[in-house]
Amino acid sequence: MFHGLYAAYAATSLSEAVRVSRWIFAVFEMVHLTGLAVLGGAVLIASARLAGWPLGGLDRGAVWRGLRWVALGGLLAVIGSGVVMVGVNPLKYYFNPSFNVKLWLLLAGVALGLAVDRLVRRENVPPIVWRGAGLALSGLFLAVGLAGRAIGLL
Amino acid sequence: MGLIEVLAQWLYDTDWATAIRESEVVFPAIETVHVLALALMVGTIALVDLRLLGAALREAPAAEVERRIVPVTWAGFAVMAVSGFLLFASEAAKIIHNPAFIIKFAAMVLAGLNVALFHWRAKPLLLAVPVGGPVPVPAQVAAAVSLGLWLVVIAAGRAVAYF
Repeated sequence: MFHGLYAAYAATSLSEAVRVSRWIFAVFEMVHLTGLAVLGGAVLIASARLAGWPLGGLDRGAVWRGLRWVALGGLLAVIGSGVVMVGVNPLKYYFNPSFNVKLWLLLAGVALGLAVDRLVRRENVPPIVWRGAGLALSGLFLAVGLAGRAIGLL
Repeated sequence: MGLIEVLAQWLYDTDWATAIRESEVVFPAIETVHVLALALMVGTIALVDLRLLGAALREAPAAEVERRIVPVTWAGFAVMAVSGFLLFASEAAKIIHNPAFIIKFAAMVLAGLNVALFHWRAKPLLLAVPVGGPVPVPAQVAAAVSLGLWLVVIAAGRAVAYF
């Protein structure tokens, strides 16, 4: 479905620049890993609080509000640098199963994050829903990291 | 050949380091654990640093955030250190001459010194601050230095493969 999009990206000057440069991919790989660390740390702590871990007596909403901009910053760094990195060989990524799994897991993680963002404004949410959301969110982003590592191996 | 080169060569030649280096599964598996542990460690310490700098979790007392999150950071550090040592051993004879690795190692040593300085000078000041009070400047300086050094560790760590 997206084959044409990847093929068009491969024909851009950005993709060519990433291919011929020794350093563009490396620099954006560093940004990608830094963004992943920031995103992962924020998601882990926010998920743990959702699942019931106390954090200085703060309620879930306060922790979520205190971390969502950090998580968003990490997410934008991951996506922005990832788009550039794909430029090194877009069609290779298009056909890589781990890359596709990573994208869908990331999409699911973002969708769940948006759902939790609405949920924390509600009252009387059953504890099991919080626990489920916390575990699912941390599990999804851990899976994103694992799928990302698998891209180079498959 | 200096002492460090001799030790690195000895590590490199051990059976287990050779097994890691020559395995198509074990090396990538340890590398995956190392990267995830690094993300856990840097991600959580970055949250503490950002709180000390007033950029995250502003509704929580800074000392409480530090007290609750730093044990998670240490857990990540333990896994990162063990997996990092195994990766280092498998490439020891070559990697000790890699400039990116030298920068990464130096930044980690400096980050460790920064943690010691934080606990020695800044943390007592932080604990003395009443709830809702401003974070002491030494704690903010330590947080900014920590963020900068861990960025260097990540960047240099990725650059190891390019030298």
